[in-house]
Amino acid sequence: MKCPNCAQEVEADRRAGHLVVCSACQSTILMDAKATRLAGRMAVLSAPRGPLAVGAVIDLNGETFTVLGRVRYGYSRGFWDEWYVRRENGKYAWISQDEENFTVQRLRDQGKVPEYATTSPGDIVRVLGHEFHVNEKDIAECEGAEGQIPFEVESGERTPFLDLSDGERFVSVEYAIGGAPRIFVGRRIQPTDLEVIAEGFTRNRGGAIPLERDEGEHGRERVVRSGGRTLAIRCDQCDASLPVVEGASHVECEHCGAENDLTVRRALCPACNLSNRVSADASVQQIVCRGCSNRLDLRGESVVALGVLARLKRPNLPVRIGDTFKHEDIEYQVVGVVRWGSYEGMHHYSSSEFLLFAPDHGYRFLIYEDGHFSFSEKIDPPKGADPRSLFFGSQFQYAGETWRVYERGEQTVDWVDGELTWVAAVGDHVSYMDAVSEPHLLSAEWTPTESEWYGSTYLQPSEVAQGLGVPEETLPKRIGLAPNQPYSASKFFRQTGPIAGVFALVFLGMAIAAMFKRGEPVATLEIPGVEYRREYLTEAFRITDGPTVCKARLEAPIRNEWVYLDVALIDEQDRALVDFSTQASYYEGVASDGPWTEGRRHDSTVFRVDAPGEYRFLLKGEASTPNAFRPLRIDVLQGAAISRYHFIGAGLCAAWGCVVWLRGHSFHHKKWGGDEDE
Amino acid sequence: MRKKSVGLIATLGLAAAGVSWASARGLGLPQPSNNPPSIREESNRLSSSGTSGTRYFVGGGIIRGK
Repeated sequence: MKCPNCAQEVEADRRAGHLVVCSACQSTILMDAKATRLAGRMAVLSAPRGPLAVGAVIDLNGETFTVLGRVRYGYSRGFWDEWYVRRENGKYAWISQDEENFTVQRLRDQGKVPEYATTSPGDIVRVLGHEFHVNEKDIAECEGAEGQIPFEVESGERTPFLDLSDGERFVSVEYAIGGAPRIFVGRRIQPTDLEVIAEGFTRNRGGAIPLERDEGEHGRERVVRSGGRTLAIRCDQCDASLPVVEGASHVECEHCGAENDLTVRRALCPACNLSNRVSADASVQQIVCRGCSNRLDLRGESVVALGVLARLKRPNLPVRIGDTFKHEDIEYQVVGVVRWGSYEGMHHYSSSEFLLFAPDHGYRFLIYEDGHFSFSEKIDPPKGADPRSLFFGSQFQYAGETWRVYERGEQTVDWVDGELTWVAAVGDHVSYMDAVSEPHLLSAEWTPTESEWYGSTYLQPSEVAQGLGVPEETLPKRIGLAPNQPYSASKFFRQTGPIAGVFALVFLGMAIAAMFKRGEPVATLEIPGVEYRREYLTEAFRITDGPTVCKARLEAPIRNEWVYLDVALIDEQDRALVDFSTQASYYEGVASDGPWTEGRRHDSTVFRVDAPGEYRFLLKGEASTPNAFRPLRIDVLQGAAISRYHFIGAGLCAAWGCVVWLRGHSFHHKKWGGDEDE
Repeated sequence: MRKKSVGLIATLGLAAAGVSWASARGLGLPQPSNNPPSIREESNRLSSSGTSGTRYFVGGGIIRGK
C-alpha cells in the first residue's frame, strides 16, 4: 500500500500488523479492518545494534524468521528494542534485544498477573502457573517504531512493565494503559544463534563512519562533513585537528604520530567539543569525556552532557582505562570503571568495578578491592532466590553448589570514568548481597526498579599479573581476606590433613593391638620365696624363634608389700646376654570412704632374643620386708610386640593433621569471624 | 587424587609396615653385647669381689639350679 502522507510504497500486511510506520516520512499509519489513517509521526530510530533489521530474514537454530517491525522503548537505565517477527509457520513472535541479550518471546493469552504497584524487584511471583523472580520493574517510554507492529503505539507512550525469569523462561508483563496486561513468554538466545539470511532495509546500520555520517547523528560524528566534503577530525591522543581523506580508515597525527582509527564510534562532547573515542560496542550508554570529565549520555540521538566529575578526587587504581586484560585466552579492553563506596559503622570501604569489553565476547567485570581481584559477569537470577530475604550466614543452593551469605548492605557510586553500558552517576545507590562458595561469589544488586545478579571468581595475584601483563610485584598488596578468596594452601597440603588423620588412627590401632598381643607361652617358672634374696638361676626354657620379642610376666602374691627383681637372660654358654628388671607393688586398706588399693601384683617386661635356643633367668631380688620374699611365678612368652613405635607414628600423624586443620580453621575463622562453623 | 597424595599414602603405608616389623623384631630393645660376661664360677668377670656368693649382680648370692 502507499503511505497516505507521502505516497511512498509501504510494505503492510493486515494480518500481521495493526500499525505500520512509513520508512520515508515516519508517518504512523493505523490499519483498521476497512481503512487506513494517519496517526502522527514517529521519531527516527538510531541504528540497530546487531544482526536484526526490519525486512531482514533471520535463521534461528534452523527456523526462519522475517523481521516485520521494531519498537524501541526507553527506561530509566537505557533502552531496548522489540523486534516483531513472522515465523516460517506463519505465526508471530517478538525478539527482545537489550544490550547483548536476546530473548525470543511469544504473546500469550491473557492470564493473571501480579499487581504492579505492590510488586518489587526481587519478589517471587506466580504467572501462568509458574513462579518467577522479578528482575526489573520500571516504566518504558516508547521512543519510536518502524515497520509493522501488531498494536498501536505512540512516541512518548508510557507503559509500566515487569521483567521476570526463572532461570530458563523470561517473561515480560506490560501493563498497557487502558488495556489488558500483555504477557510475553520466551527464552534467552545467544547472538551467535542469529544468522542473517537476507539483510534488512533499515538505514543507520553499523557504527562505521560513512553510515553515521550519512545519517547525520548529532554528537556521534567522527568525521565532520559539509557539502559532501570531509573536513577534519581531532586526534585521539593530542587533540590536534587533522585533515582526513574521504574513504580513509586511519589517519596518522602529524603532531604526535598517533594513528587514529576512523571506523570506530565517536562521541563529541557538547561541552568541550572533544571527540571521545568509544572503544566498546553500541551497548555503551555513557562515557566520561576525557577533556572536561563531563558524563556524556549516549542513549539518545544526540549526546547529552550530564555533569562534571572533575572536582572529585580521582582514585588511585591499579588498572587504567585502555589497559588490556587477558582471561582464559580472551583479551578484554578496560573501557570503564565505577567505584563504589559503603560504610560499616564509621569505616568506609571502597571497591571498583572495571568494565571489560571483548568484541566477540561482550562485557565482563574486573572487581577490585583492597588488593583482591575477581572476574565477574552478569548471570540469570537463581531460581526462587530473593536476595532481600537472605542474611549473613544463611545458605542456599545454586548451580549445584551451596552458597553462604557473606554480606548484605548498601553502597553508592563514588566515581565513574570511561564507558559504561548504563548511565551511572555519583551518588547512585544500590543494595547488594554477596554469597560465597569459594572461589566464587554470587552477588545480587537491586534498586527499587531493578534486580541483577553477578557471578564472580576470585583471581590469584599471579592470574591478575598475567592477565594485565605486568609483574606480580607491581600489583597492590592484598589486605585482609576477600569474601570469595579460597584457602591458598595447595591441594596437596590440604589432602595431607585427612590422610595423616587416617594414618594416625591406623597407627593407634596397631599400637593397641601390639599392647594386647600376648605372645606364645614358652614356660612358667616357679621361684621359691627365699631363693631370690640372692642370685638365683631358674630352670631352662626354650625359645624357638629368633630374633623375637619375648615377654616375662611376673606374678607376685604380695599384700601391702613390694618386690623388685634384677633379671639377666642367660644363654646355653652361661653368658648374661641382657639385663632388665621387673617389680610389683600392691597396697590395700580401708579409708573413711571405703576400701582402697594401689599398685598391682603383676608386671610385664619385654626383652629381645636374637636366636632360638635354651635360656634361663638369673634373678636377684629385693623386697619391702623380709617377709615379702614370697614365691613368685614368671610366665615366659615369645612372639610379643612392642607398641612404642606405633604410638610415635600415631602421634606424628595426629600432630600433622592438627597443623593442617588449624591452618584451614584459622583462615576461615579470620574470614567468617565467630560464625565460622566449617 | 594427585600423585603426591598417592605417594604420601604409599610412604605412610610403608612406614606402618616398617613399624610393624620393628615392633615384632624388638628393634630398640637392649641388645646382647658383643662380648657377654659369663656367670660361671671360674669367670674372671664375676669373681673379683672375693666375697662369698657374689656373682653377677652387686650383692648377689649363690647360684642354684645349675
